[in-house]
Amino acid sequence: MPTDRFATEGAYLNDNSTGAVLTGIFSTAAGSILYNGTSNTFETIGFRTALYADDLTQIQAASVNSIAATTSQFYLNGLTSTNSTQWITLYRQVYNCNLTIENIESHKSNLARYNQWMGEALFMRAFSYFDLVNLYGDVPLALNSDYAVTNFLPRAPKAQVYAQMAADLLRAESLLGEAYLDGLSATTPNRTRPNKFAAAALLARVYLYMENYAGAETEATKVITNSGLYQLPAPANVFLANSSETIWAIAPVTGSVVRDYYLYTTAPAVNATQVALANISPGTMSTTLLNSFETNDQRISNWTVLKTTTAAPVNGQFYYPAKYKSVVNGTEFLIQLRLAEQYLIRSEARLKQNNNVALAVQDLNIIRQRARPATPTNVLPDYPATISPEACMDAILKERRTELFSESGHRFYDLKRTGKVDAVMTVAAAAKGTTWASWKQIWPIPLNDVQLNPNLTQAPNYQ
Amino acid sequence: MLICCIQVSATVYSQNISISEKNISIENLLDRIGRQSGHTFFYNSGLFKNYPLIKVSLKNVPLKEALTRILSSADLDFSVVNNTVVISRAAPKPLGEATGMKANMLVTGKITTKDGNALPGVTITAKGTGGKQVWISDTKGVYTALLTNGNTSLVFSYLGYLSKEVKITESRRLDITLEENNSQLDQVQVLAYTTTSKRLSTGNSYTITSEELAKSPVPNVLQMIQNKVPGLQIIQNTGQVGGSFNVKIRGINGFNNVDPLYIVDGVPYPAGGTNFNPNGTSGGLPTLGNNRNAGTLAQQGGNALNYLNPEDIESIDVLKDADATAIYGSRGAYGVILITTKKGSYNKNGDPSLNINLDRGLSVVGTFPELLGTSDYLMLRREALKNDGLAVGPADLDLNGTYPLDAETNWSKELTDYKAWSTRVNLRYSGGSELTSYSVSGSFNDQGNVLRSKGYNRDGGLKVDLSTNTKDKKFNVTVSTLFNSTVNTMLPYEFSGDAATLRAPNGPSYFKPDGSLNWISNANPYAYINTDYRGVTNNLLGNTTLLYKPVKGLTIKALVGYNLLTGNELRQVPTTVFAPTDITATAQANSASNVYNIRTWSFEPYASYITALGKRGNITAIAGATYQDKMIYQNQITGTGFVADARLNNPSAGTTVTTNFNKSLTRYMGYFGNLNYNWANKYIVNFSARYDGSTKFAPENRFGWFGSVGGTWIFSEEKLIKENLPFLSFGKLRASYGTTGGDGIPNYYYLATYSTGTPYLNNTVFTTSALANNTLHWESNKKQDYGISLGFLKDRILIDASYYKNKVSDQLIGQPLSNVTGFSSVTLNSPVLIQNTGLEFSLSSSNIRGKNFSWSTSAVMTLPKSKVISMPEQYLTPNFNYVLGKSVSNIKVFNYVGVNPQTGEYNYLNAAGVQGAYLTGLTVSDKNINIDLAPRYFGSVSNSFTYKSISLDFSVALASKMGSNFQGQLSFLPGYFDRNTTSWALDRRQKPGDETNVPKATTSFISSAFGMATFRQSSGAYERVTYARLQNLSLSYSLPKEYLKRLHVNNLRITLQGQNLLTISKYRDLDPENLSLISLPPLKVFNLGLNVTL
Repeated sequence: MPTDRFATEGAYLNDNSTGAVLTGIFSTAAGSILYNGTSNTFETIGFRTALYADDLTQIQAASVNSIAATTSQFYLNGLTSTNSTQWITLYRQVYNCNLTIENIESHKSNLARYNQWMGEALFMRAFSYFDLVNLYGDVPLALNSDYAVTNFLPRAPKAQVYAQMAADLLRAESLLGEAYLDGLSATTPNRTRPNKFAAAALLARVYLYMENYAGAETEATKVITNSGLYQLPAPANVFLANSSETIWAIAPVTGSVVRDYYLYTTAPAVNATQVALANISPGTMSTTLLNSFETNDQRISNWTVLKTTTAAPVNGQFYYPAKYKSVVNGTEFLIQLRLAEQYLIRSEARLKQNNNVALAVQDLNIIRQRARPATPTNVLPDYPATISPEACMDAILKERRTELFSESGHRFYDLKRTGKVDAVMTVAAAAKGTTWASWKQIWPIPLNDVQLNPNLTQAPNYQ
Repeated sequence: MLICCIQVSATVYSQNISISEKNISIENLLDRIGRQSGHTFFYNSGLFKNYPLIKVSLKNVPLKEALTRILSSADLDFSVVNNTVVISRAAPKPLGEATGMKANMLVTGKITTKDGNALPGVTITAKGTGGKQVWISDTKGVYTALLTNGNTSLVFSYLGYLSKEVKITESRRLDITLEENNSQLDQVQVLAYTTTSKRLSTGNSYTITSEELAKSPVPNVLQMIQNKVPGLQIIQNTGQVGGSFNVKIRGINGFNNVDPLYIVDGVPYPAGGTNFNPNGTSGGLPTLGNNRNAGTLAQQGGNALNYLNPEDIESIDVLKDADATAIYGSRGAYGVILITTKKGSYNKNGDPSLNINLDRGLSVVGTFPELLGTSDYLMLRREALKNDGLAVGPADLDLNGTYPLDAETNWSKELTDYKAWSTRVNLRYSGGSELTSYSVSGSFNDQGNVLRSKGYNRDGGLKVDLSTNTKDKKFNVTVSTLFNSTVNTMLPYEFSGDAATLRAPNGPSYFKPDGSLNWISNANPYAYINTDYRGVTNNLLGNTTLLYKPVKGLTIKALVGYNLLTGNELRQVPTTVFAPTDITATAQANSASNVYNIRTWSFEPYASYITALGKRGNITAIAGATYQDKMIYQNQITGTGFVADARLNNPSAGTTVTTNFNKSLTRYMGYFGNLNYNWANKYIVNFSARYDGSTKFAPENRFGWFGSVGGTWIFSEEKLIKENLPFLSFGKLRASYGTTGGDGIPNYYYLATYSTGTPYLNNTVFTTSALANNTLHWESNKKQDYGISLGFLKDRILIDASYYKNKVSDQLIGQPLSNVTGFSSVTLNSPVLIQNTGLEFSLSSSNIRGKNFSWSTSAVMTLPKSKVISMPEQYLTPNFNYVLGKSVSNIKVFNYVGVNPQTGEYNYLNAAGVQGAYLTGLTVSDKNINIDLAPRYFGSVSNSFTYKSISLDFSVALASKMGSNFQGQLSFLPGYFDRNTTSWALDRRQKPGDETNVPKATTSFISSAFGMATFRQSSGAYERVTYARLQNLSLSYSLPKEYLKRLHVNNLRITLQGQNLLTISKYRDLDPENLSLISLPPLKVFNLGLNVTL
């Protein structure tokens, strides 16, 4: 046996080695193109979905370089089966979870910390499936590691996948403890492995998408009421590593920083050429996104950066998301679940249950409060409890957009689940210089997978 | 019985004879003498018929005196050769006349070489007896022949020596000296555990000798034998020194594209593979390789033969068919390349000799694309803007005045057109005696770089060989040690990619006048020129052979071999590689150290026994075992983030340090046997079998049987042929069949494994990286080979033709999987059946063989063909390019139908037959044109002329294949900003209606980049590449002997050589061999050499 590898049996001998396997799942995610990545590509789910929807504008049409050429396929909603790195990476993550779940189960007698390991693995599987269903619609539900089985799975109905996520997360929530632990089960300040509340928070999101509003409210409340662990810090501190806002985050791999820094924030800061700016990021914040902010919203000054060009071809002002700004490793972690989203989930869940606008705006106003500057005092006023349910829903969606922009695909997923995607994207696509069709809300899967698995079909209208 | 042969069995012989008898017949007397002295007597049985009984009284009389006393009185004569005494009538008369009938004649004597060494095993045939009278010389070279047919001739023949015919008219002693035959048919060919010759081989192998190698002034032996071995295809991937090669014996024998097995002096050698798959199939070197961020390819350390000095190589044997390769069992499937190094040698007078070889060479890049000059480039650019309806804009730097409109630089030449000088020194001192020979050789090579980045590749080597025998020559020890150390400071980047070489010719230089980098808009494609690299590779090859011959015919041999290849690399990427404005430069500065070694040792004990079996046959049996153990060790440290570039020399000082340690072991164990029966050098059959195992497979699938049978009929030995076709000096038919295995996958693929990754938040990380499959077992390669060899006019013309058919099943492949499984493939034994067939020809002809002038020609040609012959229906092919009935190297491409005269765009037909430009939208299912990338033929023609002491050799390579053309490798269409092209683009479509094959110029990124993306995957990107290349030319002059004597020099030769001097091909702008825009083409080499032997 070469020294760089060892047999599977050896990985589940005891808690420490099993912990290392789970750490491997998190570190793989940390290095994965889905969240952080290490290579010079623009493939994170946050970036690509924002570009695909209406949050980012590609300032230079598919020119300059191959990155711009690829991203323009997302920006112009012209995907082909070759734009499917997310699919590949997400299913690899699912496989890793499945293999681990099977082995933890079969080596249960070795493991005193079985609950933690099993809870973490189930959480990660659900987390992976969440993006899969939201990007690809009905997807094969692979629940074991045997390629002879998974290679021939058909697409399972979305509802079935959601049910599996909910079941996994419920179980994870019951298995995981309240404290944040590390790979040796020692308590740690790092909120980079899920605890009970991370499972609850993700479950709240899943329930919301399943339109199980009571469930969503219950789960979100579990998190919100734990003010010992979770609070809403000032906007400037939200994205710092292990902020009190963080429920669960993915740390960048050793030696690197959050990918969003490179995606949007890298130098040059001022007076760059547009070419140079586009070299840093092909996508700037779209006009509609900028316009959705109310004047003096603290989130603009804290979470975006303005870059001006004075050089050719035109003077211009370009806003970029700048939630992550640090070049120092360890200063920031890429947050996947945070408290503000739980308030927004609960707000929406409360509204959807009996149109309880009063309770809904309560949560909404908590978010607005934080975004409010000390002066002037008249901006971002509290919503009155008297607004109509429709206005309340619009307010929630507006607040979700301004709070969660460029994070984790929220905008694209929100448009889809609320049924607004066609209306919004038809306008947005026209502004981009392309056209929208409803089938474009489902992304294509790799052609190879369709050819290799006779039971698997391509998303409609893709080749 | 006509002969009376007295055999003796006494154990103690006396030199003197003591016999006292009163009445004894001469027969009885000789019998007694024989018993006493240990001599054997030969005489005609009727010789003493009429002699009376005689009286003798001998006391301690020497044999000769005794015989004289006895026989002189009887009018008889005798001769003594060693232990044989031949008796004949003293006063010979023409026997036939005297008796009126055919008389018997007895001939005896000793057969020696020119040097006086006894030649055992020489066949002596009485001519005209239809092969009925044949004798063989004994271990001391002594023979005795009794001719019963009267007046006739004896023919003395021995493998590797010129036959001699002597007319016999009487009984007598006849000593014979045989001279070595330089016929190619009898040159030694090295096989796994035996040797053979072209004449007697049952299998298919091809030998290249050091004389042939010496004709090419290149640093890697693979370059020397390119196109010169039928069935062996070698492609140089890059012209860069130290680069990798693509080597295939008899085509791609499987989807894995595995390299052949290399054996140097009996020890497996880790050649082959590229550094991109360090753990790859044939074990390439685990080097740092190329930093992908630099953009271009470099394949340094790509082949371990870069670390073996070609001057140390005596011969190369390429084993091709089952008969030759089955004995390698599980690893012979892809063919075997045996390399034998030079050993000690001695001459008759015992003087040691010193050979000095000095070379000075110059290398330059062989092929440059014919880039457009500024005026043509700008004309295309302006036309492109016009076509697109655009005016010159601020981004059109080449036209808006930012770049001077009159500047002109050929960027390709700016970066790669540098002269690389090389110096080679080889010294060889050898000598010895009949019992002990030795050789010591040393070498130094210095090779410069043709790239702007400079750096050098220097190596020094020492080789010591010793072979010693006991006095009775029954025990031999041969020790051979070779050490070679290479220092390479050439950067592992080539700078020959399109972004670097196809820039606007009027663009500003990326270098300042002082040679430092000039940063334009914070980007510089040559930034990595500031990198620092140093790699030291040491190669130690040692082996010891013990040989013991306890009794006649039996040889016991043990070979212990050891090879240690170690590498030590340091690559430093300083802050100056990044733009001065890049504030993350210090964070990105990095350095990496890589220490690796590949250690192989092997132990092979075996015994061979040869004995006569049947009247004229002999049988050789070999049985042995082999044990091999290969360990790859690697230790890598990468540091990123350095505050000061001065600290880069220590990677562990980086802000972030990652380390990688790996040690991996593979073992092979096997038993083999070989049985060879040779009947009168006319009918030969050969059986081989091997039982062996490899740790690459699960224990239950590890061991297996492999075997082969081969047969040869040398029909020119048949009387009928000899008598009726006198011009046919040699004729042979050959056939073989057998199975070999292949294990071309990385180690431990049968196991599900975890490996340790970079720690995450200070926690240990285990990750899994592949799907396991414990049913993995060997690929099976069933090989058939048929051959005919013909020699005409006393072998002055030799022709050899072979046909082979290999069927490969149980292919070890990465079976593609749907990504839903988590992986894109799993390694398994595929049910696909592949067939490789081919024809191989070789011809050698000695056209003119005069006293002062001679001319000889040789040619080889290979016509390979491969085919997927069975593939289960609805089979998930590992690659959509595999099509039932098509070649293994088939690719599927879009159906390109030309440039649309109206739109000026490339047009294609989709699967439905609809024509269009398809910037996007075509999918794999539209790829319905099949192109076979395998060569249609390849080979070479070589000529040698000698006039007195001048000789001229040259070799022309010929090949034809389908390959990607220049335009098929471009990323943008003509007219695109900052992308130059070649004169190809001048034929563009200028106005609607123009019929041409070149699209209109455009500056649009979408139509340009997307258009080219489709074109590159279409049939338009491929063309037939046929070329003839003057591969090597060598002119040498040896100083005449009379001058040499005055100088006390044995030999002095001056040589002028060239490699890759001229290529004739319709293929434009790129090299027709490596067909690559991003790798250096093979270099053009000039060399002046001086060879002196003292």
